[in-house]
Amino acid sequence: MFTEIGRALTLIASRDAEVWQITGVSIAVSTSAVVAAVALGLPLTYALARSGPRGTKIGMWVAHSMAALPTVVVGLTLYVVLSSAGPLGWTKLLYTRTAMTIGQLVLALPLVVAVVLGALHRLPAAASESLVTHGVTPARRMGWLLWEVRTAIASGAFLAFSRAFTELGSALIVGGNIRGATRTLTTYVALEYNRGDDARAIALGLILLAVALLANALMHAFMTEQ
Amino acid sequence: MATTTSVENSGLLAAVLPAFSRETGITVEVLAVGSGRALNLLKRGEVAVGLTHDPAAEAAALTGGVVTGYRKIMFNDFVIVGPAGDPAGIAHASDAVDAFARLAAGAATFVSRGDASGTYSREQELWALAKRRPAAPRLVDVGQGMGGALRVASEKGAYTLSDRATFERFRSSLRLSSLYEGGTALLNTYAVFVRPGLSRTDEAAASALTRWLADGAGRPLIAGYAVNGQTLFQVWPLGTPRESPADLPFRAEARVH
Repeated sequence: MFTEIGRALTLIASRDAEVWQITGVSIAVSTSAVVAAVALGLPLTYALARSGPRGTKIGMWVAHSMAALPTVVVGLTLYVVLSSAGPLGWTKLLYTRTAMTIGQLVLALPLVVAVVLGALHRLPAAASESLVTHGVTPARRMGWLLWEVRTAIASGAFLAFSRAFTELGSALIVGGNIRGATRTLTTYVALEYNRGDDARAIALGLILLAVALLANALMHAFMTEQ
Repeated sequence: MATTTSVENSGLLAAVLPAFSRETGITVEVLAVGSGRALNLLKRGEVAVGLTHDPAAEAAALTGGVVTGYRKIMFNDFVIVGPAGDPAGIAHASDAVDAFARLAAGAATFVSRGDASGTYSREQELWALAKRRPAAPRLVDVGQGMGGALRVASEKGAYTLSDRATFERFRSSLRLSSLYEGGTALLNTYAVFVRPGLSRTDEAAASALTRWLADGAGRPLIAGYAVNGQTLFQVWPLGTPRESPADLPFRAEARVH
Protein backbone atom coordinates (compact mmCIF):
# COMPACT_ATOMS: atom_id res chain seq x y z
CA MET A 1 0.00 0.00 0.00
CA PHE A 2 2.68 2.53 1.03
CA THR A 3 4.91 1.61 -1.88
CA GLU A 4 1.93 2.21 -4.15
CA ILE A 5 1.38 5.68 -2.70
CA GLY A 6 5.08 6.34 -3.13
CA ARG A 7 4.88 5.32 -6.77
CA ALA A 8 1.79 7.49 -7.09
CA LEU A 9 3.65 10.55 -5.84
CA THR A 10 6.53 9.88 -8.25
CA LEU A 11 3.99 9.74 -11.07
CA ILE A 12 2.56 13.11 -10.10
CA ALA A 13 6.02 14.64 -9.83
CA SER A 14 6.91 13.32 -13.29
CA ARG A 15 4.40 15.79 -14.75
CA ASP A 16 2.73 13.45 -17.15
CA ALA A 17 1.30 15.68 -19.91
CA GLU A 18 -1.85 13.59 -20.28
CA VAL A 19 -2.68 13.87 -16.57
CA TRP A 20 -2.52 17.67 -16.75
CA GLN A 21 -4.64 17.73 -19.90
CA ILE A 22 -7.26 15.66 -18.06
CA THR A 23 -7.05 17.86 -14.96
CA GLY A 24 -7.61 20.85 -17.27
CA VAL A 25 -10.74 19.24 -18.77
CA SER A 26 -12.10 18.53 -15.27
CA ILE A 27 -11.55 22.10 -14.06
CA ALA A 28 -12.89 23.65 -17.29
CA VAL A 29 -16.09 21.56 -17.35
CA SER A 30 -16.88 22.04 -13.66
CA THR A 31 -16.08 25.77 -13.71
CA SER A 32 -18.35 26.31 -16.75
CA ALA A 33 -21.12 24.39 -14.98
CA VAL A 34 -20.79 26.52 -11.84
CA VAL A 35 -20.65 29.81 -13.79
CA ALA A 36 -23.83 28.76 -15.63
CA ALA A 37 -25.45 27.68 -12.35
CA VAL A 38 -24.73 31.08 -10.77
CA ALA A 39 -25.87 32.99 -13.87
CA LEU A 40 -29.17 31.08 -13.98
CA GLY A 41 -29.50 30.62 -10.25
CA LEU A 42 -29.25 34.24 -9.06
CA PRO A 43 -32.23 35.67 -11.03
CA LEU A 44 -34.20 32.49 -10.29
CA THR A 45 -33.46 32.68 -6.57
CA TYR A 46 -34.24 36.37 -6.46
CA ALA A 47 -37.59 35.79 -8.16
CA LEU A 48 -38.39 33.02 -5.65
CA ALA A 49 -37.46 35.24 -2.70
CA ARG A 50 -39.58 38.08 -4.07
CA SER A 51 -42.61 35.82 -4.50
CA GLY A 52 -43.17 35.80 -0.75
CA PRO A 53 -42.88 33.23 2.03
CA ARG A 54 -44.79 30.58 0.10
CA GLY A 55 -42.53 30.84 -2.95
CA THR A 56 -39.46 30.76 -0.72
CA LYS A 57 -40.71 27.66 1.06
CA ILE A 58 -41.52 25.77 -2.13
CA GLY A 59 -38.25 26.93 -3.71
CA MET A 60 -36.30 25.67 -0.69
CA TRP A 61 -38.08 22.34 -0.75
CA VAL A 62 -37.42 21.81 -4.47
CA ALA A 63 -33.79 22.95 -4.21
CA HIS A 64 -33.08 20.69 -1.24
CA SER A 65 -34.72 17.71 -2.94
CA MET A 66 -32.77 18.28 -6.13
CA ALA A 67 -29.52 18.68 -4.19
CA ALA A 68 -29.94 15.01 -3.31
CA LEU A 69 -30.27 13.89 -6.96
CA PRO A 70 -27.99 10.89 -7.52
CA THR A 71 -25.39 11.70 -10.17
CA VAL A 72 -26.08 8.50 -12.11
CA VAL A 73 -29.78 9.40 -12.33
CA VAL A 74 -28.88 12.79 -13.81
CA GLY A 75 -26.47 11.06 -16.21
CA LEU A 76 -28.99 8.42 -17.27
CA THR A 77 -31.78 10.95 -17.83
CA LEU A 78 -29.50 13.15 -19.89
CA TYR A 79 -28.29 10.08 -21.83
CA VAL A 80 -31.85 9.12 -22.76
CA VAL A 81 -32.63 12.69 -23.85
CA LEU A 82 -29.40 13.22 -25.83
CA SER A 83 -28.92 9.78 -27.42
CA SER A 84 -29.70 9.59 -31.12
CA ALA A 85 -33.08 7.94 -30.42
CA GLY A 86 -33.93 10.62 -27.83
CA PRO A 87 -35.80 13.93 -28.27
CA LEU A 88 -32.59 15.99 -28.44
CA GLY A 89 -30.55 13.45 -30.38
CA TRP A 90 -30.28 15.83 -33.34
CA THR A 91 -28.07 18.16 -31.25
CA LYS A 92 -25.27 15.53 -31.38
CA LEU A 93 -24.25 16.61 -27.88
CA LEU A 94 -23.85 13.14 -26.36
CA TYR A 95 -20.20 12.32 -25.52
CA THR A 96 -19.11 15.98 -25.59
CA ARG A 97 -17.85 18.33 -22.87
CA THR A 98 -21.03 20.37 -23.36
CA ALA A 99 -23.11 17.37 -22.31
CA MET A 100 -20.93 16.91 -19.23
CA THR A 101 -21.31 20.62 -18.41
CA ILE A 102 -25.10 20.35 -18.68
CA GLY A 103 -25.11 17.32 -16.36
CA GLN A 104 -22.99 19.15 -13.78
CA LEU A 105 -25.15 22.26 -14.16
CA VAL A 106 -28.16 20.18 -13.09
CA LEU A 107 -26.17 19.00 -10.06
CA ALA A 108 -24.80 22.48 -9.22
CA LEU A 109 -27.90 24.66 -9.64
CA PRO A 110 -29.88 23.36 -6.62
CA LEU A 111 -26.93 24.02 -4.29
CA VAL A 112 -26.58 27.62 -5.47
CA VAL A 113 -30.34 28.19 -5.14
CA ALA A 114 -30.60 26.56 -1.70
CA VAL A 115 -27.73 28.53 -0.15
CA VAL A 116 -28.56 31.92 -1.70
CA LEU A 117 -32.30 31.61 -1.11
CA GLY A 118 -31.66 30.88 2.57
CA ALA A 119 -29.47 33.99 2.86
CA LEU A 120 -31.99 36.23 1.06
CA HIS A 121 -34.71 34.90 3.34
CA ARG A 122 -32.66 35.85 6.41
CA LEU A 123 -32.12 39.45 5.25
CA PRO A 124 -34.22 41.84 7.33
CA ALA A 125 -37.38 42.75 5.38
CA ALA A 126 -36.68 46.41 6.16
CA ALA A 127 -33.65 46.40 3.85
CA SER A 128 -35.75 45.60 0.80
CA GLU A 129 -38.61 47.92 1.77
CA SER A 130 -36.35 50.92 2.31
CA LEU A 131 -35.00 50.44 -1.23
CA VAL A 132 -38.57 50.47 -2.55
CA THR A 133 -39.42 53.70 -0.72
CA HIS A 134 -36.28 55.34 -2.05
CA GLY A 135 -37.51 54.71 -5.60
CA VAL A 136 -34.63 52.41 -6.66
CA THR A 137 -35.27 50.58 -9.97
CA PRO A 138 -36.07 46.81 -9.64
CA ALA A 139 -32.86 45.84 -11.44
CA ARG A 140 -30.71 47.90 -9.10
CA ARG A 141 -32.66 46.61 -6.11
CA MET A 142 -31.83 43.05 -7.16
CA GLY A 143 -28.18 44.06 -7.49
CA TRP A 144 -28.16 45.62 -4.01
CA LEU A 145 -29.78 42.66 -2.30
CA LEU A 146 -27.58 40.11 -4.04
CA TRP A 147 -24.53 42.15 -3.04
CA GLU A 148 -25.72 41.88 0.56
CA VAL A 149 -25.61 38.06 0.33
CA ARG A 150 -22.31 37.84 -1.61
CA THR A 151 -20.69 35.53 0.93
CA ALA A 152 -23.61 33.12 0.54
CA ILE A 153 -23.26 33.28 -3.26
CA ALA A 154 -19.56 32.45 -2.96
CA SER A 155 -20.31 29.66 -0.51
CA GLY A 156 -23.01 28.22 -2.80
CA ALA A 157 -20.74 28.47 -5.84
CA PHE A 158 -17.88 26.63 -4.13
CA LEU A 159 -20.18 23.95 -2.76
CA ALA A 160 -21.54 23.53 -6.28
CA PHE A 161 -18.00 23.31 -7.64
CA SER A 162 -17.14 20.56 -5.16
CA ARG A 163 -20.18 18.54 -6.18
CA ALA A 164 -19.56 19.04 -9.91
CA PHE A 165 -15.81 18.45 -9.79
CA THR A 166 -15.96 15.23 -7.79
CA GLU A 167 -18.96 13.57 -9.49
CA LEU A 168 -18.41 10.45 -11.58
CA GLY A 169 -21.82 9.10 -12.57
CA SER A 170 -22.97 11.79 -14.96
CA ALA A 171 -19.51 12.49 -16.46
CA LEU A 172 -19.02 8.81 -17.30
CA ILE A 173 -22.46 8.26 -18.83
CA VAL A 174 -22.82 11.44 -20.93
CA GLY A 175 -19.10 12.13 -21.43
CA GLY A 176 -18.02 8.59 -22.28
CA ASN A 177 -14.47 8.91 -20.84
CA ILE A 178 -13.06 9.54 -24.35
CA ARG A 179 -9.31 10.02 -24.21
CA GLY A 180 -8.21 13.52 -25.14
CA ALA A 181 -11.80 14.76 -25.23
CA THR A 182 -14.14 13.91 -22.36
CA ARG A 183 -11.85 12.06 -19.97
CA THR A 184 -11.92 13.71 -16.53
CA LEU A 185 -10.07 12.97 -13.30
CA THR A 186 -12.98 10.97 -11.87
CA THR A 187 -13.60 8.87 -14.99
CA TYR A 188 -9.83 8.33 -15.28
CA VAL A 189 -9.61 7.07 -11.68
CA ALA A 190 -12.41 4.59 -12.43
CA LEU A 191 -10.59 3.45 -15.59
CA GLU A 192 -7.23 2.95 -13.86
CA TYR A 193 -8.98 1.01 -11.12
CA ASN A 194 -10.47 -1.32 -13.76
CA ARG A 195 -7.14 -1.62 -15.50
CA GLY A 196 -5.67 -2.83 -12.22
CA ASP A 197 -3.16 0.04 -11.99
CA ASP A 198 -3.59 1.04 -8.35
CA ALA A 199 -0.64 3.45 -8.20
CA ARG A 200 -1.96 5.50 -11.07
CA ALA A 201 -5.51 5.47 -9.69
CA ILE A 202 -4.23 6.73 -6.33
CA ALA A 203 -2.08 9.42 -7.99
CA LEU A 204 -5.09 10.72 -9.91
CA GLY A 205 -7.23 10.55 -6.78
CA LEU A 206 -4.66 12.69 -4.95
CA ILE A 207 -4.77 15.34 -7.70
CA LEU A 208 -8.57 15.31 -7.51
CA LEU A 209 -8.39 15.76 -3.76
CA ALA A 210 -5.78 18.53 -4.01
CA VAL A 211 -7.90 20.62 -6.41
CA ALA A 212 -11.02 20.12 -4.27
CA LEU A 213 -9.14 21.19 -1.12
CA LEU A 214 -7.64 24.17 -2.94
CA ALA A 215 -11.13 25.33 -3.96
CA ASN A 216 -12.23 24.96 -0.36
CA ALA A 217 -9.26 26.98 0.89
CA LEU A 218 -10.08 29.74 -1.62
CA MET A 219 -13.66 29.85 -0.36
CA HIS A 220 -12.55 30.16 3.25
CA ALA A 221 -10.09 32.92 2.35
CA PHE A 222 -12.92 34.80 0.61
CA MET A 223 -15.33 34.34 3.54
CA THR A 224 -12.75 35.56 6.06
CA GLU A 225 -12.01 38.56 3.83
CA GLN A 226 -15.70 39.50 3.91
CA MET B 1 -14.16 -15.33 -7.83
CA ALA B 2 -13.20 -12.47 -10.15
CA THR B 3 -14.51 -12.69 -13.66
CA THR B 4 -14.30 -10.69 -16.85
CA THR B 5 -17.32 -8.46 -17.43
CA SER B 6 -18.21 -10.23 -20.69
CA VAL B 7 -18.95 -13.47 -18.82
CA GLU B 8 -20.90 -11.69 -16.10
CA ASN B 9 -22.84 -9.59 -18.65
CA SER B 10 -23.82 -12.72 -20.54
CA GLY B 11 -25.70 -14.01 -17.51
CA LEU B 12 -23.87 -17.35 -17.69
CA LEU B 13 -22.62 -17.46 -14.12
CA ALA B 14 -25.98 -16.50 -12.64
CA ALA B 15 -27.44 -19.40 -14.63
CA VAL B 16 -24.93 -22.14 -13.78
CA LEU B 17 -23.44 -21.31 -10.36
CA PRO B 18 -26.59 -22.07 -8.31
CA ALA B 19 -26.27 -25.69 -9.46
CA PHE B 20 -22.66 -25.77 -8.20
CA SER B 21 -23.72 -24.39 -4.82
CA ARG B 22 -26.54 -26.93 -4.53
CA GLU B 23 -24.19 -29.83 -5.30
CA THR B 24 -21.29 -28.78 -3.09
CA GLY B 25 -22.70 -26.41 -0.48
CA ILE B 26 -20.06 -23.88 -1.53
CA THR B 27 -21.33 -20.35 -2.21
CA VAL B 28 -19.54 -18.32 -4.86
CA GLU B 29 -19.33 -14.53 -4.79
CA VAL B 30 -18.68 -13.07 -8.23
CA LEU B 31 -16.79 -9.81 -8.84
CA ALA B 32 -17.23 -8.63 -12.43
CA VAL B 33 -14.19 -6.62 -13.50
CA GLY B 34 -11.89 -6.34 -16.53
CA SER B 35 -9.31 -9.10 -17.07
CA GLY B 36 -6.55 -6.73 -15.87
CA ARG B 37 -8.34 -6.02 -12.61
CA ALA B 38 -9.29 -9.69 -12.16
CA LEU B 39 -5.63 -10.73 -12.30
CA ASN B 40 -4.72 -7.88 -9.95
CA LEU B 41 -7.37 -9.00 -7.42
CA LEU B 42 -6.03 -12.54 -7.60
CA LYS B 43 -2.48 -11.31 -7.06
CA ARG B 44 -3.58 -9.32 -4.01
CA GLY B 45 -5.34 -12.35 -2.57
CA GLU B 46 -8.78 -10.71 -2.68
CA VAL B 47 -10.20 -13.58 -4.72
CA ALA B 48 -9.39 -17.29 -4.96
CA VAL B 49 -10.50 -18.01 -8.52
CA GLY B 50 -10.21 -16.03 -11.75
CA LEU B 51 -12.03 -16.39 -15.09
CA THR B 52 -10.57 -14.26 -17.88
CA HIS B 53 -10.10 -14.10 -21.67
CA ASP B 54 -6.76 -12.36 -22.09
CA PRO B 55 -4.12 -14.92 -23.14
CA ALA B 56 -1.26 -12.38 -23.11
CA ALA B 57 -2.01 -11.15 -19.57
CA GLU B 58 -2.68 -14.72 -18.40
CA ALA B 59 0.69 -15.86 -19.77
CA ALA B 60 2.43 -13.05 -17.86
CA ALA B 61 0.57 -14.02 -14.66
CA LEU B 62 1.52 -17.70 -15.12
CA THR B 63 5.18 -16.77 -15.60
CA GLY B 64 5.04 -14.54 -12.53
CA GLY B 65 3.64 -17.38 -10.43
CA VAL B 66 0.49 -15.39 -9.66
CA VAL B 67 -1.85 -18.13 -10.88
CA THR B 68 -1.95 -21.91 -10.84
CA GLY B 69 -4.28 -24.68 -11.99
CA TYR B 70 -4.75 -22.91 -15.33
CA ARG B 71 -7.34 -24.47 -17.65
CA LYS B 72 -9.28 -23.27 -20.69
CA ILE B 73 -12.94 -24.01 -20.17
CA MET B 74 -14.83 -22.52 -23.09
CA PHE B 75 -14.66 -20.29 -26.13
CA ASN B 76 -16.70 -18.20 -28.49
CA ASP B 77 -15.56 -15.50 -30.87
CA PHE B 78 -15.07 -11.79 -31.30
CA VAL B 79 -17.10 -9.99 -33.93
CA ILE B 80 -16.24 -6.77 -35.72
CA VAL B 81 -19.36 -4.63 -35.55
CA GLY B 82 -20.20 -1.32 -37.20
CA PRO B 83 -22.84 0.70 -39.05
CA ALA B 84 -25.00 -1.45 -41.33
CA GLY B 85 -23.82 0.49 -44.42
CA ASP B 86 -20.24 -0.72 -43.76
CA PRO B 87 -18.41 2.30 -45.28
CA ALA B 88 -15.01 0.64 -44.79
CA GLY B 89 -16.14 -2.46 -46.68
CA ILE B 90 -14.89 -4.92 -44.08
CA ALA B 91 -17.60 -7.45 -44.93
CA HIS B 92 -15.52 -8.26 -48.05
CA ALA B 93 -12.25 -8.60 -46.13
CA SER B 94 -10.22 -11.77 -46.70
CA ASP B 95 -9.62 -12.25 -42.97
CA ALA B 96 -9.80 -10.35 -39.67
CA VAL B 97 -6.37 -8.79 -40.15
CA ASP B 98 -7.44 -7.52 -43.59
CA ALA B 99 -10.62 -6.14 -41.99
CA PHE B 100 -8.50 -4.20 -39.50
CA ALA B 101 -6.21 -2.96 -42.29
CA ARG B 102 -9.29 -1.67 -44.12
CA LEU B 103 -10.48 0.08 -40.94
CA ALA B 104 -7.08 1.73 -40.51
CA ALA B 105 -6.86 2.80 -44.15
CA GLY B 106 -10.35 4.21 -44.68
CA ALA B 107 -12.13 7.18 -43.17
CA ALA B 108 -14.02 5.07 -40.64
CA THR B 109 -14.03 5.74 -36.90
CA PHE B 110 -13.12 2.91 -34.53
CA VAL B 111 -14.05 2.79 -30.85
CA SER B 112 -11.32 1.25 -28.73
CA ARG B 113 -11.87 -0.16 -25.23
CA GLY B 114 -8.51 1.12 -23.96
CA ASP B 115 -8.97 -0.65 -20.64
CA ALA B 116 -6.66 -3.66 -20.12
CA SER B 117 -9.43 -6.10 -21.05
CA GLY B 118 -9.04 -9.26 -23.08
CA THR B 119 -10.93 -7.59 -25.93
CA TYR B 120 -8.55 -4.62 -25.89
CA SER B 121 -5.56 -6.97 -25.96
CA ARG B 122 -6.99 -8.70 -29.04
CA GLU B 123 -7.63 -5.35 -30.73
CA GLN B 124 -3.99 -4.34 -30.14
CA GLU B 125 -2.78 -7.65 -31.61
CA LEU B 126 -4.94 -7.14 -34.68
CA TRP B 127 -3.63 -3.60 -35.29
CA ALA B 128 -0.11 -4.97 -34.93
CA LEU B 129 -0.80 -7.73 -37.47
CA ALA B 130 -2.44 -5.22 -39.84
CA LYS B 131 0.77 -3.16 -39.51
CA ARG B 132 -1.16 0.10 -39.18
CA ARG B 133 -3.68 1.68 -36.91
CA PRO B 134 -5.91 4.74 -37.01
CA ALA B 135 -5.09 7.70 -34.75
CA ALA B 136 -7.39 10.09 -32.87
CA PRO B 137 -9.91 11.40 -33.82
CA ARG B 138 -10.60 8.31 -35.95
CA LEU B 139 -9.63 6.16 -32.99
CA VAL B 140 -11.95 6.90 -30.06
CA ASP B 141 -10.41 5.56 -26.85
CA VAL B 142 -13.30 5.22 -24.38
CA GLY B 143 -11.64 3.41 -21.48
CA GLN B 144 -14.92 1.65 -20.68
CA GLY B 145 -16.40 -1.81 -20.54
CA MET B 146 -17.82 -3.53 -23.63
CA GLY B 147 -21.32 -2.16 -23.04
CA GLY B 148 -20.06 1.43 -22.87
CA ALA B 149 -17.88 0.97 -25.97
CA LEU B 150 -20.81 -0.49 -27.94
CA ARG B 151 -23.03 2.46 -26.97
CA VAL B 152 -20.43 5.01 -28.06
CA ALA B 153 -19.85 3.13 -31.35
CA SER B 154 -23.60 3.03 -31.99
CA GLU B 155 -24.00 6.77 -31.34
CA LYS B 156 -21.01 7.73 -33.48
CA GLY B 157 -21.75 5.33 -36.32
CA ALA B 158 -18.34 3.79 -35.62
CA TYR B 159 -16.84 0.30 -35.69
CA THR B 160 -15.67 -1.69 -32.69
CA LEU B 161 -14.49 -5.16 -31.69
CA SER B 162 -16.86 -6.99 -29.34
CA ASP B 163 -17.09 -10.39 -27.76
CA ARG B 164 -20.12 -12.17 -29.16
CA ALA B 165 -21.90 -12.64 -25.83
CA THR B 166 -21.99 -8.93 -24.95
CA PHE B 167 -22.92 -7.90 -28.50
CA GLU B 168 -25.86 -10.35 -28.56
CA ARG B 169 -27.06 -8.97 -25.25
CA PHE B 170 -26.93 -5.30 -26.31
CA ARG B 171 -27.81 -5.84 -29.95
CA SER B 172 -31.48 -4.79 -29.85
CA SER B 173 -30.65 -1.35 -28.43
CA LEU B 174 -27.77 -0.65 -30.84
CA ARG B 175 -27.56 0.65 -34.40
CA LEU B 176 -24.76 -1.77 -35.16
CA SER B 177 -24.46 -4.91 -37.26
CA SER B 178 -21.97 -7.73 -37.08
CA LEU B 179 -19.93 -7.08 -40.24
CA TYR B 180 -17.04 -9.51 -40.01
CA GLU B 181 -16.79 -12.77 -38.09
CA GLY B 182 -14.93 -16.04 -38.23
CA GLY B 183 -11.31 -17.22 -38.37
CA THR B 184 -8.75 -18.13 -35.74
CA ALA B 185 -7.72 -14.51 -35.20
CA LEU B 186 -11.13 -13.77 -33.72
CA LEU B 187 -11.31 -16.78 -31.39
CA ASN B 188 -12.11 -15.76 -27.84
CA THR B 189 -10.98 -18.29 -25.26
CA TYR B 190 -11.88 -18.27 -21.57
CA ALA B 191 -9.74 -19.81 -18.84
CA VAL B 192 -10.12 -20.44 -15.12
CA PHE B 193 -7.28 -20.53 -12.60
CA VAL B 194 -6.61 -20.42 -8.89
CA ARG B 195 -4.49 -18.26 -6.63
CA PRO B 196 -1.56 -20.25 -5.20
CA GLY B 197 -0.98 -20.42 -1.45
CA LEU B 198 -4.59 -20.44 -0.30
CA SER B 199 -5.69 -21.95 3.01
CA ARG B 200 -6.57 -25.65 2.75
CA THR B 201 -10.34 -25.07 2.83
CA ASP B 202 -10.19 -22.23 0.27
CA GLU B 203 -7.90 -24.35 -1.89
CA ALA B 204 -10.39 -27.23 -1.83
CA ALA B 205 -13.33 -24.94 -2.67
CA ALA B 206 -11.43 -23.18 -5.45
CA SER B 207 -10.32 -26.43 -7.11
CA ALA B 208 -13.80 -27.87 -6.75
CA LEU B 209 -15.17 -24.89 -8.67
CA THR B 210 -12.58 -24.94 -11.47
CA ARG B 211 -12.92 -28.73 -11.86
CA TRP B 212 -16.70 -28.43 -11.94
CA LEU B 213 -16.51 -25.80 -14.70
CA ALA B 214 -13.78 -27.52 -16.73
CA ASP B 215 -14.67 -31.21 -16.44
CA GLY B 216 -17.67 -31.64 -14.24
CA ALA B 217 -21.38 -31.01 -14.22
CA GLY B 218 -20.76 -27.39 -15.29
CA ARG B 219 -19.88 -28.42 -18.86
CA PRO B 220 -23.36 -29.36 -20.09
CA LEU B 221 -24.81 -26.31 -18.36
CA ILE B 222 -22.36 -23.99 -20.15
CA ALA B 223 -22.98 -25.73 -23.47
CA GLY B 224 -26.74 -25.44 -23.03
CA TYR B 225 -26.77 -21.79 -21.98
CA ALA B 226 -28.53 -19.62 -24.56
CA VAL B 227 -29.85 -16.06 -24.81
CA ASN B 228 -32.65 -15.36 -27.29
CA GLY B 229 -32.21 -18.89 -28.60
CA GLN B 230 -28.53 -18.37 -29.36
CA THR B 231 -25.80 -20.40 -27.63
CA LEU B 232 -23.16 -18.00 -26.32
CA PHE B 233 -20.27 -20.26 -25.29
CA GLN B 234 -18.91 -23.57 -26.53
CA VAL B 235 -17.18 -25.82 -24.03
CA TRP B 236 -13.53 -26.68 -24.58
CA PRO B 237 -13.36 -29.93 -26.57
CA LEU B 238 -12.03 -32.79 -24.46
CA GLY B 239 -8.66 -34.05 -25.64
CA THR B 240 -7.42 -30.71 -26.98
CA PRO B 241 -4.62 -28.99 -25.02
CA ARG B 242 -5.82 -26.39 -22.55
CA GLU B 243 -3.13 -25.80 -19.94
CA SER B 244 -1.46 -22.94 -21.80
CA PRO B 245 -2.88 -19.47 -22.62
CA ALA B 246 -1.94 -19.98 -26.30
CA ASP B 247 -3.97 -23.19 -26.64
CA LEU B 248 -6.79 -23.21 -29.18
CA PRO B 249 -9.85 -25.46 -29.18
CA PHE B 250 -8.76 -27.37 -32.31
CA ARG B 251 -5.45 -28.82 -33.43
CA ALA B 252 -5.08 -28.39 -37.15
CA GLU B 253 -5.55 -24.68 -37.73
CA ALA B 254 -2.71 -22.18 -37.86
CA ARG B 255 -2.16 -20.22 -34.70
CA VAL B 256 -2.24 -16.48 -34.55
CA HIS B 257 -0.34 -16.00 -31.32
